[in-house]
This record gives sequence, C-alpha cells and structure tokens, in this order.
Amino acid sequence: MHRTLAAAALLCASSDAHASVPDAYGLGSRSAAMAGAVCADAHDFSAGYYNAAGLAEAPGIEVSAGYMFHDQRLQVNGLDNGVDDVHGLVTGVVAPGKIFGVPFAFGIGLHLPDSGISFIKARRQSTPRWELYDARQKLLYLEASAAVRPWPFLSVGGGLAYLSATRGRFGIRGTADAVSPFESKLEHEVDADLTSVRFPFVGLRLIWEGWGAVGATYRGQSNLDLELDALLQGNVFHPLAGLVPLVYELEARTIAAFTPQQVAVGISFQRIADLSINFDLTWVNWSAYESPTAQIQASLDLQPPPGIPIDVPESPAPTAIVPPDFRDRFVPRVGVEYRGAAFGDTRVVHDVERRLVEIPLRAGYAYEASPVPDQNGELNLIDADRHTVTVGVGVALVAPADELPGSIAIDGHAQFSILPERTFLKDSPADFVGDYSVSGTMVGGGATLTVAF
Amino acid sequence: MRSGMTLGLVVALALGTQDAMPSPQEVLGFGYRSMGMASTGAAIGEGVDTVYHNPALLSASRELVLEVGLLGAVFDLHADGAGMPGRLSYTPLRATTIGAILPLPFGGVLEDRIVLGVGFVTPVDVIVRGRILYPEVPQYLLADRVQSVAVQGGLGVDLGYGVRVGGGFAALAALTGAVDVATDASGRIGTTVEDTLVASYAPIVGASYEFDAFETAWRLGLAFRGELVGRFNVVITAQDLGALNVPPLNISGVAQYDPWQIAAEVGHVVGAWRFALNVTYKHWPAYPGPIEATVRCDDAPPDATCTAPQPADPGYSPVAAPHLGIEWQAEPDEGVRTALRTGYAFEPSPAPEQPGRTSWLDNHRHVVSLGFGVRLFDPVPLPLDVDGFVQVQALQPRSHQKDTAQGAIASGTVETRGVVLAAGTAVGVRF
Repeated sequence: MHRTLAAAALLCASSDAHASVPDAYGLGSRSAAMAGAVCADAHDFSAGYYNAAGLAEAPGIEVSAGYMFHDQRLQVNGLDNGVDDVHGLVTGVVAPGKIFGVPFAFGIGLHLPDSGISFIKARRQSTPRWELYDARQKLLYLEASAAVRPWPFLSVGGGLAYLSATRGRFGIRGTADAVSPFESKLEHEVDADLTSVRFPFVGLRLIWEGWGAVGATYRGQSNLDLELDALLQGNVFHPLAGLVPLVYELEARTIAAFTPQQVAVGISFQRIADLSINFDLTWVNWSAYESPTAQIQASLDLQPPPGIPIDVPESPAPTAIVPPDFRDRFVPRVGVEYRGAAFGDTRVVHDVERRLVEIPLRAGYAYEASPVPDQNGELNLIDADRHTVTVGVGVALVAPADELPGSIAIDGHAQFSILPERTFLKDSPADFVGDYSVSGTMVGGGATLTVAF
Repeated sequence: MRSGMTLGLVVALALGTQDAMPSPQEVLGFGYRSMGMASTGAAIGEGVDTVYHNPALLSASRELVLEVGLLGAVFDLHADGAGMPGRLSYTPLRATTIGAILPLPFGGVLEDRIVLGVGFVTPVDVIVRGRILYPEVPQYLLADRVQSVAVQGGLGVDLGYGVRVGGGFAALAALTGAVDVATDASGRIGTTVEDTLVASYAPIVGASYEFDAFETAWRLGLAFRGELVGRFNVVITAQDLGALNVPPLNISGVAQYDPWQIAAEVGHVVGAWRFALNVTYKHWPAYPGPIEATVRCDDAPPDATCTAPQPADPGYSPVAAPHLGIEWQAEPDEGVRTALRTGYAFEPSPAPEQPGRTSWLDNHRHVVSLGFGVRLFDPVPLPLDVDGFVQVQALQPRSHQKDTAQGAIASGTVETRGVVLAAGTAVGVRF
C-alpha cells in the first residue's frame, strides 16, 4: 500500500519553472558582458531576444558562433544542491537589406545545450529544489525574427520563439513473470506528439541621433503542457496464483517549463564618443506561475485469488495542489561599453571610419529579486535574490584583408552571481523537510566569434 | 505487482517528454520548386531547395532571400481484407516553412563564391510524432513520418571551373531517458525520472559540375545524405522491491528513419526548357524496424534464461528511385519570369510482404507533380518569388497473404492501396 502511495506521490512530482537561458545567463558575449542591459543597444543576433527592432540597424550580414559555460554552486544548509552546470553552443545570423527602400532584416538566434535539447527532472511537490535554475540549462532556445526601420528614428521588430509540449499515450501489455523476469512476455506501444509551442516577442527602438536610443520589448509567456494517458493491460504470473489479470489506467496532466511574460524598457546613452551607458528595467510576470504539480487520475483493477499473498495497492488519492504564489518582479540592469581602445590604420566600413584593431571593453550589473515567497508549508521551491556582475572584452580586426571587407571579432565575457543567504522557516515543527537556509554563487563566461560583412 | 504498478506510473511520467521525429522531406520532398518537379534538384536545384537536395548549388545564389510558405498533405490509405479495418485514418499535414539564403559578401578571390542556407519545415501543431503501435495494428509508416519538424542547414562553395561543392546537415530530435525505482531507507519507493531530448544529426554533402555555362548546357549533381534516426529510449530499472524481480523495461523504438542515400542527377537546359533526370539510391536494409523489445535479453544476467520476445529484423530492401523533372520558363513581360513545372517519380517500397503478425504497410508509390513559379525582378519594384506545387502520390495496390501459422491474426489476403495528395505555396523576398 505504502508503495502505491509513494507512487502516487511520484505522480505529484513537478517539473521546474523556467525562464529562458538567455534570460538567466545572457545570449551572445557582447550582450552578456553588459548584464543584458541592451534593450536599446543590441543590433547583433542577440537582438532577436533583447529587442528585435535592433536587427534593422545591423550594418551588414553577421554570422556568429560561440560557447558559454556557467558553474552553479547553489546550496541548501551549506551543502551543494546538485544543480547542474549550464553550457552550450550559441549561434546566430543577422541578414539586413532593403525592401522598397526600407531597411529590413531578419535574424535567427539559437542556444543549443550540448547535453540535450530539453531536460526535465520530475520530483515530488515537497522536494527542495532551486526552482528557477535547476534543469533550465538543458532547454533549447530558438527564435526567428525580423525588423524594419521605416523612418531613421524608428525601428520595429518581432518574431517567434519555439518550444515544445507533449501529449501522448502509451501502453504495455502481456504477462509479467514475477519470479523469472526475463521470461516476461511484454510489449509496448507509444502514440505521443511533441507539440509546438510558439511565443511571440515584439520590440521597438527610438533613435535620438547624437544622444542614443530608447527601446521597449515584450516577450510572451509560454507553458509546456503535458498530457499523458497510460494503459497497462495484461497478467502477472505468480507460481501460487497462476495468471492474475491486471488493468491499470492513468491520466496525468501537468504544466512544465513555465516561462513568464516580460516587458523590458531600456535607454542607451551614447552622447560621449565611443561610450555607451545602458539602463534596462524588466517587468517579469512571475505571479502568473502555475503549480507544476501533476494532476492525476488513476484506477487499478487487480483481483488475485483468495489466499494469494499479493498486496493490492489502492488507487492514489487526488493530489492537494499547493499554489506557488510567486510575485512579479522588476529587474534593473546596467551596462557599459567603451569602444575607444583601437589602433592601426583607419579604414571605412559601411560608411563608418574604423581602426584596424578595436578592443571594446564592457561591464554590467543586474539585480534580480526573488519572486518566490517564503516556503513555510509543504512546498520547497528554493530561490534567493541574485546579484550579477559582468565584464567583457573583445578584439576585432576590421577589414583585415581584401577577402573580408567587414570584420572578424571575438568577444569574451565573464559573469559572477551571488545569491545571499536566505532562511526558510516552517510553520509546522513536524514538517518532513524542516527549516533550512540557502545561498549560492554562479561563475560563468563564454566567447563569441562574429564575422561581419 | 506493486512494482508493476509503480513502474506503470513511472513510465507515464517518463514519457512526459516522449518523442520521436519523422522527416517530411523523405516522403514529400523539400522545396516548392523541387516538389513541383518530383523531388529533383541535385543538379538543377535553386534557392532554398538546395539546402536539402545539394548544398553545393547554394553557391549559385547571388541575393539574400527570405522565404515563407505553407505546405499540406492529406492521406487516403486503405488496408482491406483479413482482419483489416479498411480505410486508415491519418491526420493531415499542415505545415509552415521558412527558408533563407545568405550569400556571404567576401571580397577578393572569395567574392560571390560562398553561400549559407537554412530551411525549416514546421507542422502547425506538432514538432514530432512518435506513433509506434502494437505490431498487429495496421499502419502506414509514411503517413506519420511527415509529422515532424525538419531542420536543415548548409554551405555551398563555388570552386570555379564549373565545380561546386557543399555540405550541411539535417537534424531531428531523439529521446533518451532513465527511470530508477528503489526502496528508500524509510521503506517507501523512491523514484528519479530524467529524460532528455537530444538532437540527432546527419550530414548532407554534395557536388556539381557544369559543362560550359549552365544556361546553355549540362550540369551533373551528386548528393549524399546520411542516415537520420529519430529513436526514443526510456529505460526503467527497479531495485530493492522485495521478492519481486523486475527486468529493465525499455519503452523504445524508432519512430523516424531516413536511410542514407545517394542522389545522382543530370540536368540540361534547352532554350526555355530545363530537364532533370535523377536516380536516388536508398539504403533501407539498415532500418531496424519501428519497435524494440520491451525486455531485452541483452540485459539478462549470464545465468538467467531469457524467453522475452525480441523483434525480428524487418527485412527491408535497398531501393533506387528514378525521378524526372521538367521546367518551362517564359518572360511574358519585362521584369516578370514565369515557370511551369512537372515531374514523375517512382518510389519503390523497401518493405517486404507482411504475412505474419506485423502489418507495417508500405507500397510502391507513383509520384506525379505539377508546379508553377513567378519571379519579379528589376524594373518591377517588388523583388518577389512565388512558387507552388501540387503532388499526387498513388500507392500501387499490393497484396499480403496473411497466415495464422506465421502469427497473423487471421489468414487471407490483405489488399493495400491509397493516395497521398500534397500541395503548397511559398513567397520569397529578395533583398
């Protein structure tokens, strides 16, 4: 019996909340080095995430590829919580041109985790886990976007990002041999669809020539719904009972990988030559977060003959879902880029005078207040405020040869996050998990190679 | 039994991200111009089509292109006779496509020589369909195989002297997972469930050679596409469950499979006419079949007896499919070029007769296609390409002699036949 209840508890397992990888760790080294404060100042492939309107201001075709790695040291009561590191390939393309004389561009951005496209780790509702950082590292981020600049002072853009949800059914049938398992006569079937989930993003950018720009962008919410039906139909062979008929039916519904909608506004102050000072403020709608706990309906029909020692488990009781009650949050970000470090001959690329070698320097800071309330009941969704400091440097060779009239650049970034200690006190002294404190650090970085034409 | 229950629950959860991916390009082709010419394109492909058919030909593109399109297909497939249901129901394909061509503006000796291309086919409501039914359930594998995202990218290089080479990849998803069930210290069953969607890749490489300029002469094209497998594999293991012994349970199978293949094509231009003759070899004998054993004897300890059923080799055969494509071009007005296209292909079935329990159905297919294209260019101020096609695939009637002695549910003749109708149109903008 208790095993069945444990199994039911398993089905009350929940998946993790997600914000996308770019949201937590940045996309592309330039933007990541400025702590993501580029809503008004991104015109490389990362603009597809930060503000698609910026794509229309790309001076030429750009092809980028890179890699990022983040070491996550997140602790509970001073012990590592086993949150996996984040690492993957980053790549993107920007292709600008003109349609009817209007500047137009499209772009593709991709973060491809090198350990899988998506990863879900299902746990019980009460299992302590870093809700915003665990498992998100293995979620693909893919977006396609386009932008136009109808007037010199305005560009607008938008696109779609792609995820996938699951609905399906499986069955196992046949005879399980309880004593000689490899003599079981079992077979299975699967009828499952990975369904597409698209969420939109739109943005605009206003350019104030000589001063800089302001930008705003909206990123849509997405849920990955799981709909699962299962049917086990067959017999269990027991030496004392012979064949015992069995029918087990299951329906499971849950929501996974919640990504909240966001609105970001940003300003890029560029009045000082070779210097950009950016400030972004992002509203993140975490209050819409729904419980990831699965809702289950299950029934079992197993009737062994009298006197046969087979425990017949009962059908699991419905799960009492505890609402997570997350809060919205505002995330301020500050980023700085200095482009004055350059030497070598002067050359003109896309009507702009540049030097042979350019070494842009970047830095940034972001503060993300935790959207997770105190966990004083059954839930144990761990989170803490996060302070992130970033630095970055690049080296660009501008028009280094006749074959490459644009530039080739490599940008690197480093990111350090600290999550100060937070203590969770339980209301019940008999709580199975009890009181605990959490804290953590994250150290990461990456590099992006960009060939611009 | 209790463990069986637990495992059932666990499997349900494990399949929470279950998937497998089929590829529509193997069944319907790729690219609207190519699909109007019966999937020719290894020698005469243009634009986004070449990402799949022969990436070497990407290098012939000179303009930035962004193309979006709509693609659909319906299936009327039948299995009549002993124990068969008659018409089999399959969900129509409704898909959007996105393609892009990016000539990289290098200078010097690299000028106008290197071009990138990408192409996506995305079913409207499905990324991947993993539909592997019990063996005796009649199923046409081709109908579900189109329900998949297809992702392809490539790069073409013009080496000069009429030689072009290219390479790229096709990608789809596969699933690996693990479910571990064990009794914890408190006597409760504890379970960990992990599954990971991983990418599966296959290379695409190609080359072409032009005799003189292609506008007046011949071009040879050769393309190789690697084996592309969309496999799902969730393994359930149980330990410390008292007196019950549970073998590893494998919820595994191959829901999508494109064999490695070589396409050889010759293209010829005579005035306004373009002809393509293509033969594509497809190495189907490596196909393992859609379903795998739930209990694998390989997992059994050396001293254990294993009599669990193991799927047999499906016995697929290699095939060579001939394709013929024709295009006629005209310029009815300044800045306007139109094209009419047609084609025929014969796709032999690699599947053997199904006399026994399995009913994995497949027939020879006769593919007839029609297509059109409109290209607007200077001095027309709207740099657009519009292409469309209609494709009819007639499944040649086939008989299977079912025999209960070989495991069939009922003896007798099963007749299979059907029609697949596909159509689509795309708009490309050059800038």
